Amino acid sequence: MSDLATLETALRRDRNLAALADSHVHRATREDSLGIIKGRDAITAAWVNKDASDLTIAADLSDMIAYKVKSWHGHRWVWREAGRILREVVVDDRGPDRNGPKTAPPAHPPLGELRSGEGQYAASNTAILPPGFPEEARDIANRLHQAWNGRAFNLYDRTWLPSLIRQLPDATFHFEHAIVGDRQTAILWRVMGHHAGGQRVRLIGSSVFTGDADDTVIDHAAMAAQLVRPLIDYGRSA
Amino acid sequence: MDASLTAFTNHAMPNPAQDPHAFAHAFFDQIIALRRFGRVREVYSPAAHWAGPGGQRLFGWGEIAGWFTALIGSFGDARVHIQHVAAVDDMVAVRWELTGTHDGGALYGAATGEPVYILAVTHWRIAHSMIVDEVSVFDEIALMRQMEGGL
Repeated sequence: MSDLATLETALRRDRNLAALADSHVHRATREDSLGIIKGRDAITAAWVNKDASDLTIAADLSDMIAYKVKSWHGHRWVWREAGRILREVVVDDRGPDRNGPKTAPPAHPPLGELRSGEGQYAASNTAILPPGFPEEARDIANRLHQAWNGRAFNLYDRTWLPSLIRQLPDATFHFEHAIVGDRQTAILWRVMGHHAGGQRVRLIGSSVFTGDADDTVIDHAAMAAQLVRPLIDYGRSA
Repeated sequence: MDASLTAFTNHAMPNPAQDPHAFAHAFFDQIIALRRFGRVREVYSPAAHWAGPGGQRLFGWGEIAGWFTALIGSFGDARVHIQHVAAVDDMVAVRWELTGTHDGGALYGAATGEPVYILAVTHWRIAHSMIVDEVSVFDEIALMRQMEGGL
């Protein structure tokens, strides 16, 4: 079991929150689809609000784990500095209603295009991947790009995809990071799109592939919260 | 026309890991001074993170290019000058200033026609010769005071 999986168990099952003092640097951040928490103290405070619960580690790729808690599941990605966690990204999906609705903080008005510089061109055959993206993960990313951005649903037959795109017709998927393990490949991605109500939705998604099977998580509660969040108003309408 | 006289060169951007000073000057010259927002795709990672005033957080080429477009959409005659560049390891810091007129409503509401001055600091983290993280800060409250006609 990796250090991250051990930490997840210590925090979630045993509530050994003191472990955070060693695992995280003081300026660590934690990001999810609703925003970012800055500082180890704030991360600790967020854990204090969680009840103890048993969990199962479903996938362990060292700096990325997938876990299952009761009837919901989540993924955690970390980046380290000298061995300690500097940044973490959490994607969990407890459904839109479980444990009450989430509340999204006010957002700035959206900026920029979803598909920068591509105009009305069709999605290309290959994904736009950041430098350093693992070679071994490129085939999966390219296939997901064709299925998700190119809307080739026949290449990826999962119910969540057309369901999401029905809600966000211009949804665009961006690949951020990947970790390749012995038998599994994990990909961290983001999706941005506009709901019929005009709200821009920005979600973090995470997928773990074992062969052609995947465990994909999107925070549906965060999406519901973003659909009703207010925009920041500078006090003078244009 | 002598091609060397035109500002709209299409030269490759300097490598920030090898020459951060030249990169910083080329960045501000090309993207802000010359409004060549498409060059965002040459200097930022497609998965770059951007954090700015007011807690604004952006991701990727589209949103970052949108920020520069909106900045110029707020101060259409903006002129930018670099005061100082410092680089250590994979970090580059730039202190820069912008002068212009609040003549558009892209970022801060209806245009007021007031002159503005922004003193800002940008920090980049460089990986694979591209910007992967940016934090840009300036005093937005002071800026709004200027737009209201104060000092």
